[in-house]
Amino acid sequence: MWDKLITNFFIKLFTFLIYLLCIFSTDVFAVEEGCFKLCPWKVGQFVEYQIISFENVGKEHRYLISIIGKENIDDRDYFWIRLDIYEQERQISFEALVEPFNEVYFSEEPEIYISKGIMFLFKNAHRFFIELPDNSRYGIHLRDISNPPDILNGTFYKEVPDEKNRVDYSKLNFTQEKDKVSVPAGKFDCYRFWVDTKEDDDYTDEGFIMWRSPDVPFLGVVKMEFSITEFSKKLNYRYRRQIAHGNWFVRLYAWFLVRTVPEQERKDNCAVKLLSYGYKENISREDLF
Amino acid sequence: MINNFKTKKNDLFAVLTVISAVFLYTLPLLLRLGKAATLTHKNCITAWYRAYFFGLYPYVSMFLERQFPLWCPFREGGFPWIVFPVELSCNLFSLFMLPMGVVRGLNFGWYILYFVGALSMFYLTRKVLKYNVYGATYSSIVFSMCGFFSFMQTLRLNTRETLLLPLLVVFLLKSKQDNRFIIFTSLVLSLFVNSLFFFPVVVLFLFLVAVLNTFKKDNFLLIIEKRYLVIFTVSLIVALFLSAYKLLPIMELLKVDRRVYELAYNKAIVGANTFSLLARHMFIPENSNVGTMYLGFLPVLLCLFSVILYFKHVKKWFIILVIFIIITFGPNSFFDLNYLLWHLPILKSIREISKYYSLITVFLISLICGRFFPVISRLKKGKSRSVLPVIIILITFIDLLSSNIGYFNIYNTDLILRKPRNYVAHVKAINVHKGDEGGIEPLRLSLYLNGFGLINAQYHNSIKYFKDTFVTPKYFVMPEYVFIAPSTKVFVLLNPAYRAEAYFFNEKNRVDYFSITPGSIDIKANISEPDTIIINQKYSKGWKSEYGETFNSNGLLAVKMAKIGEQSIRLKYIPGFFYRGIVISVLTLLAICCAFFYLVKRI
Repeated sequence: MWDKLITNFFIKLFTFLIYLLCIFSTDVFAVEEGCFKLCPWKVGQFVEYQIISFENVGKEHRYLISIIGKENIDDRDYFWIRLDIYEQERQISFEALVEPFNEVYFSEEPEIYISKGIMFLFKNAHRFFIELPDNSRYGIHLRDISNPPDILNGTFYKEVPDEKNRVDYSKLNFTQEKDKVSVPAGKFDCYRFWVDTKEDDDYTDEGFIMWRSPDVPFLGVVKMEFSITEFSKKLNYRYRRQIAHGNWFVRLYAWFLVRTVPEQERKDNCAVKLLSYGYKENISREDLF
Repeated sequence: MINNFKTKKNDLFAVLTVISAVFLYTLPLLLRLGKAATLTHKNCITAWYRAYFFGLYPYVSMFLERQFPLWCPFREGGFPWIVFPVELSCNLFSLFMLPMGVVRGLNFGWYILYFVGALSMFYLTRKVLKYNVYGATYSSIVFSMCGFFSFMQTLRLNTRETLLLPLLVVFLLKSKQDNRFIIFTSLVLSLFVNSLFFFPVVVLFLFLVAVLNTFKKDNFLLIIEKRYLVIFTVSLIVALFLSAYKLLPIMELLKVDRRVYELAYNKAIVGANTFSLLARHMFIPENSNVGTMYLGFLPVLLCLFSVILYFKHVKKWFIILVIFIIITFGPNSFFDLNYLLWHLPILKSIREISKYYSLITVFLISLICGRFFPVISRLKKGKSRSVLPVIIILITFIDLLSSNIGYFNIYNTDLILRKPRNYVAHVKAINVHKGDEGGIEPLRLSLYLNGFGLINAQYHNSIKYFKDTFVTPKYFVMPEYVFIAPSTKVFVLLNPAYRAEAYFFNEKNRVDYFSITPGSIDIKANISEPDTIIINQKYSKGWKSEYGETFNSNGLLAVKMAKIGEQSIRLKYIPGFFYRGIVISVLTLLAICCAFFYLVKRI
C-alpha cells in the first residue's frame, strides 16, 4: 500500500513539474505576445527591401515581395507570392503558391522562420515558377529548390567566412519592449530579435539583429543587421590570448608572427532595410495562373 | 687609398644592414610563402583571390595545357585574356610561378621586390645622389619598410612593380652621362605597364623630374638644358614600343570603352586627402584604407629638416613632392590639380587618387629624409658622430617593423589550388556584392576550380567590355539574403532556360562533343540539315574556323554549317592585335640590343 502511495505521489509530483515546465515554456513563446504577431495576408500587399553591405556597396540591390493572387484548395486559402530581385534592372523573379505564415508556428519556432526568410515558404510551395529578365516563365520542381546542385563541391569556398557564417539560434533573444527604428519606409515601433556573438566565440559564429513590426506584411521585417562579426577581431582576440598566457618567447613570436595591423573601424554591416510597404490594387496577376 | 677601402667597407656594412633589415621585416612572408591570405570578411584581401585567379589561369594554361592563354571562357562570358591590363601571363615576375606554383610564386614575387626596392634606393642615394652612408641606409629602410607597399601587398598584386621606382630613377639620372642607361630606363619603365594606373603616375613623375632638371639658374641667367627631356622622351617611346605586346591588347579594350572605367569626377576622388587624413595615413599605424603609408614622425620630421637645411640640394624633389601631395588632396586643396589631370586619357580612369599618387609621396619623403644625416656629422665630433645616426636608424627601423609587420601576418590559409576541371558552363551571380569586400573573387576562383565561369560579377560592373554579355548561364548563384534571411551563404539554382554550351537552331541537328581550351574550341556534331551552330561564348572577331565563317549572333559566337553528316569543327582564336604587339616588342628589343652593343663598342 505504501508503495502505491509513494508511487502515486511521485507520479503526481512529476506531472505537476512537467505542467509547470509547460506553463513556463508556453509562456516564452505565447502567441498573444505582440512580438510574434503577423500581419494578415491579402492580395495586393507588398514589401520592398534594400540590402546594403560594407560602405554602401549594393545599394541598388532591391527585393520586392508581393501577394499577387489567391486560390482555395480543399477549403484552405493559398496565396500566390512573388519575389522580384533587382540589381539595376530586374534579374530574376520567383512566384509560388504557398500557405501564409502561421503565428503559432512562428512563436514556437521563430528561428526556422527567421533563418530561412521567404525561402521557408518557397520550400513548401504547392507550385513554383521562375521568371527570367526576358519575361519567360518556367515551372520548377520543388526538389530543385530543396536540393540545390553543389557546384562548389570540393573547393575552398566552404571555408571562406561569407559561406561559413553560422548563427547559433539557441542563443536567439527577443524583447517585448519596442525600439524606435527609422528606415526609408518611415519610423516604426519594433520588437527586437537578436543573436549575440562575442570575439571569444568560434571564428565562424555569427550574430544578427532583426527589428520587426506586426504592421508590415510577411515576417514583418523592418530592419535587419547581419554578418556583424569582425573576423579580424576574433583573430586579434586569439593573438591577445596568446600574449596573455604565453612566456616571453611566445609573446615575442606572437608580436612578430601573429599580430595583424589594426583596421579602420567600418560601421556598416550587411543590412536589410524596408524601402516601402503597403497595398496596391493592380498588383493581382490572376491571368497568369 | 685607405680612405677608399674604408668607404667600401662601410658601404658593404650598410648594404648588409639594409638587407638584414628587409629580411627581418619580410620574414613572416618568407615563413608563410606557400600560404594564401586569410579572408577575414572585411579586410579587403578578397582582392588577393582575384590575383590567385589571374595567376592560376595562365599557369594552368601555359605550364599544364601548354597553350598561351589567349581566350578565357571562365570570366564574364569569355573574353580575350590578354586584353585585361593586370593579367599575369605577360609579366616578368610570373616566372616565379613556374618552379614554385601559383601561391608561392606570387608571394615570392613580392618578397624579392622588397630587396630590389631597398637596394636600388641605397644605390640611388649613396652612389648617384652622393648621400653619406647613414643617409643612404636610412632612406633605403624608410622606403622599403613604409606602410605603403605592405598595405598595397594586401590589396593589389599589380602594385609590386612600384618597388622598382628607385631603380627607374637611378637609370634616368645616370642616363645623363651614359646613353646605355636610356635603354635600362626604357626596360624598367616598360615593366610598369603591368602596374596599370601606376604607369601614368610614374610617367608624370619622370616628366616633372626631366622638366625641373631642364632649367638651371646660372647667376642671373636661366639656362635650358634639354638633355633630360630628350632622355625622358626617348625612354618613354622605347618603353611604349617594348610593351606593345601589352599595350595593343589594352587598346582593344579602350576601343570598346574609351574611359575603361565609367567614372564621374566625384567617384574618381574617392579617398582624396585632407590634412587630418594625410596625417592619419602617415602617422597612425593602422590600415586606414586607400592612401595608407605609415612612415612615422621621425622620417617626416627629418624630411622637413632636410628641406630647411639643404633646400638647394633637395628643392627639385621637394617641389615634386608638394605637387603630388596637392594632387592627392583633389578638391580639398586650394587648387584642384587633380581635376586638370583628370581630363587626360587614362588618368581619367584613376579611382582612389591617394592610392596611386601616394607612391611618389613615400618615395620622395624617403629620398629627402636621408639627406639630413650630414648635419649630425658636422655637429658632433668623435665617436658620438656615428652613434646618433645609428640610434636614429634603429628607432625608425623598430618603429616601422612593429607598425607594418602585421601586414605580412595575413598569410595563414592552406589554399590548395588543384588543377581546375575542364570548362563546363557559365554561372550568373545575382546580387552578390562585387566590391573587394563582397566575396565575389573567392567565389569565382572556387567555381573555376570546378570548371564554371562566373558572369555578372565584374568588379563594380564598370568595364563595358565585360558588362555586355549575352551568354546563357547554366546556374544562378545568389546569396541567401535575397530571401530576407540573415545569411550570406550562397544559393544555387538551375536555369531552366539553359540549353547547352553549343547548339543548333534546328533541333534535328545534334552536338555530340564540346570542348574549349585557352586558344581553341572543338566540336563534334551530327548535322542532318544545313544550320548555324551557336556557341555559348561571347563573340570576338578573333575566332576563326576553316569550316566556315564565324559571326556575331546576338552577341554570341556562331558558325554557319553547310555540310551535313558527322562533322568535327575546330575554331581557333587568333588575336591579330596581340601578335602585332609581340612583333613590335621583339623588334624593339632586338633594336635596343643592337644599340646597346654599339654603345658598348664606342666606349
